[in-house]
Amino acid sequence: MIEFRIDRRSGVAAYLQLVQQTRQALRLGLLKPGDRLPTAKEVVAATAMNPNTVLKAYRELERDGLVEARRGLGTFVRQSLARPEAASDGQLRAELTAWMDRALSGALEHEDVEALFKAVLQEHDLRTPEGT
Amino acid sequence: MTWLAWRQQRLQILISIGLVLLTTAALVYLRFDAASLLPNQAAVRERYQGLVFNMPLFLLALPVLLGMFAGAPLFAREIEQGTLVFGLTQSISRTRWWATKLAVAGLPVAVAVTALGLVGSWALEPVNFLLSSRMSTPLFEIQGTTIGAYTVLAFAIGATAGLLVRSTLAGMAITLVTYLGVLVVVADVLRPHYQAPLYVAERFRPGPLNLPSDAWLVGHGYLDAAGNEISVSRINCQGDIATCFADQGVVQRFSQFHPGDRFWPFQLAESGLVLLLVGGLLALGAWALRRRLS
Amino acid sequence: MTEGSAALDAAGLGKRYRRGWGLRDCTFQLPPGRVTALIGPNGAGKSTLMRLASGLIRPTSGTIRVLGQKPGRKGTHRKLAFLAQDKPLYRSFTVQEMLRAGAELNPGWDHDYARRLVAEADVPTNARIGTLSGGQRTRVALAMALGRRPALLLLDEPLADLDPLARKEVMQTLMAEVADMGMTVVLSSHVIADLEDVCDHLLLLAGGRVRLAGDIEDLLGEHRLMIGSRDLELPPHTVVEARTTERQATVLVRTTERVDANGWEEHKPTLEELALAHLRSARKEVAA
Repeated sequence: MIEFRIDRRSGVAAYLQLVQQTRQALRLGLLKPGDRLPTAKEVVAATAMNPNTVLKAYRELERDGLVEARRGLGTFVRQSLARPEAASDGQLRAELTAWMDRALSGALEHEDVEALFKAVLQEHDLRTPEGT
Repeated sequence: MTWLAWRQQRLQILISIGLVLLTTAALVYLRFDAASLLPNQAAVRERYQGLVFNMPLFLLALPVLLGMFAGAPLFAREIEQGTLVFGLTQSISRTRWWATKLAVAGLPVAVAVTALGLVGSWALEPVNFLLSSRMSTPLFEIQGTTIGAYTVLAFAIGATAGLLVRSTLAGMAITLVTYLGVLVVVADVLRPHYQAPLYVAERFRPGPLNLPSDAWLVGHGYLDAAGNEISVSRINCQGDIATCFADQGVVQRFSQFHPGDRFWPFQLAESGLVLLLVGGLLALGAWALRRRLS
Repeated sequence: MTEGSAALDAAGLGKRYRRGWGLRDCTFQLPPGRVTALIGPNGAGKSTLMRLASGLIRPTSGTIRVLGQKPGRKGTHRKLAFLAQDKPLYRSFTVQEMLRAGAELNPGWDHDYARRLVAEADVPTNARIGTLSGGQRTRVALAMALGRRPALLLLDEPLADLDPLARKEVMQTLMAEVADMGMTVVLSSHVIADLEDVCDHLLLLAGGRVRLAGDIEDLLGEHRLMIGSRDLELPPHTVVEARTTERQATVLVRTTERVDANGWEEHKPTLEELALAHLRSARKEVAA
């Protein structure tokens, strides 16, 4: 089961962090269709956050069609975001790994690589405003 | 709530009752031992003279001690320790909380001390001849029903003072001072007037007044030939007092007193009076509870 | 929100002490099911407000309604629990006796639940209250409050003098119970960071008056923290507070639109930044 972590200094609203972490877990295949998400009580008992925040995040995920609430049973994953290309043996991932090796073995530091990656991603977003 | 009040005060209640029971037991022993020596009054005097001189003072202090240590902390300590806020934020009315605490802490002690007073009146019978009239202070207050009433009074003073001044220590001090004040005022000002005293006038002669031994003398003086009260001075008398007084116009002397058989009516009157005072104190406490508390 | 549905509803509420007004002209509603942060400096009226709600004191002016009812003298509202700052418990009692006292004083007492909360906190039931650590004491006091099965729980500085671990544990317990029972909670604190993830509603008091009230997300969305050179012109919006150093200016503005002012760097404020800016501006108002 997924465990949430709240970074208070990130400046991102707590419920959005939960949404992002869930999506990330779905992307990485850590959560699969049929899996149950922790109940609000379980989340707050571990993080001491406000249960309304958890419920708000779950409502958001439900609206996106990623999870569904089953009365009295809990909230379950409906749909996966995992893509074969992103899996650890995928083609795209292998290419990116090779690129990363080249970048880091050259003159670039860890942070430079990160900045470069983000910059290129942003440029891409600007060219195609619809997103992916 | 009864259990809670008991659990909070049980130490004070048990110590108070233990003290009262010990005293009662000592009085019962005194009764049987003194009775076994009678009719030899000299033997009783020899054994008990010292004790019966000191014991009334101890018994006079008992109610105020109980009021200071069982009554004053009853609410003041809760205020000092902040637990008042706990008690008053539950699903129980303020008045019930207050009344239960008073009853649980006060009633057992009141009953025990009243029993002590009744046993005391009976136990002191064989040694009464050693004492002055049992209608005067301190003998009147330490037996019969009054000792119980005074205990309730001291307890009510302590509890209410603690509630008003919010401090155990100040509550104790107020209890002591107020109790002594009431004692003096009641004994000196009020008690002689529960009933009109008997009046006896006789031809003046020097020597002690001719009164029954258990009578309580509340006034005496001198009359001239016309029957008017006159004040006489002993200072200028030289030689025979009778002649000296006669020279100042004294013909008769009179005394006002309450006979010994008024003891029980006076006991009930004084107990009733004290309980009225208790009622007033409790009303003050109830007012403070509603208006002043927190 | 419709009339009467508020968990706590104050209208023109005021309380005067001998030394002056502790609370004045307070009008607000706290929605049910929410966790409200009651924030303000010491002496702002936080405790006074809680004492008024629990019926310990009576208002000098205005009214306060707890779940639709005015507090009376028949004890605190059955569905309200109040935990005072010093966590008053009978020191000579054992934990078990304390729980029994809760049962004696409350017809709606849930004994199994209170016992479970104490057991979960690893507090031995035969220990005397006076021997417990601060954290354990708070857990017992919280169990005493929750044992009444409140719909509205008022906690006055519940985390003061607790170590970080105990703080976290108390909040975890509390939030789990909120998730379970859906109760309304009001938490007061002058340490805002303690409340940041926990609360979703804000009531900001200063000098006995309400300075800011509302849903925290909404309030944060309505404010922008602008950072720029001190020579820049102030943005054309309601300025809550402007602070300047030698070169830099930090300005909190209240607006629902994007500010888009030239040269200003725009941030979403944190709860702490928002609250502190409002408190500082309130203090300046008083000083002026």
